[in-house]
Amino acid sequence: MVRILPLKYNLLLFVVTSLLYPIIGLLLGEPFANPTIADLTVLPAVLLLFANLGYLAQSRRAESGVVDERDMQNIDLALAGTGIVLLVSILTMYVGYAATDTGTPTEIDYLALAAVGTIFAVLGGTEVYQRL
Amino acid sequence: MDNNLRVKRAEREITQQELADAVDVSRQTIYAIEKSKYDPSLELAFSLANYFDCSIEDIFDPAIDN
Repeated sequence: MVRILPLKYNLLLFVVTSLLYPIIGLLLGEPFANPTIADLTVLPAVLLLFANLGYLAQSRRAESGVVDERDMQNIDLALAGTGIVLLVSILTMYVGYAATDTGTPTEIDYLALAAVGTIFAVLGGTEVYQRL
Repeated sequence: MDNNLRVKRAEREITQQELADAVDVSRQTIYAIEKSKYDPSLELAFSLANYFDCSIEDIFDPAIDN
C-alpha cells in the first residue's frame, strides 16, 4: 500500500524541526541567533517533503507500513509528556516573575491561555461527544 | 499483557515480518507484543485473532484479578 506519513506525525515533525533552529544555540552553547521566518518554515517544510517522499518510496517496496498504531501511541505519550512539561514551565515562570516582582510578559499569559483553553476544550469536547 | 503470540506464530511457521504484513503493522510492533512491551489496540487484537482463526483470549491473557 502506498501512503504518506500520518497527519499527526507530519505536524510533529514540522514543529520539532522548526523549533530545533532556535534552540540549537542553547544546545551548542553558542549565542542565540534569532531565526527568520524562512528558517522556521522553509527548511522544516523541505525536510517534511523528503520524509514523506522517503516514506512513500518505502511503502511501495514493503507491504506493511512503518508507522503504525504503536508509533502513534508513542507520539501521544510524547505529546502528553510535552504538555505536562510546558504547563509546569509556565507555572514556574509565573512563580519566578512573582518572586522577583517583575511584571509577567503578556506572551506568557497568552501561552497559559492557549494551554488551559486547550485542556478545557479537549476534556469538554470528548466528554460531550462520549455522552451524546 | 501476557500472550502466546510467539507460540501461535511458530505453529503457523511464519516470521514476524510475515505476520506484520498480514495484519498491516510493522515488524517491531509484533516484536513488542511478543515481548509484552506493548498492548495492541482492540482492532489489532481482533486482526491477530482473525488471522489465527481463534478468539482474542486464546492469544492474550489479561490476568484480571477478580
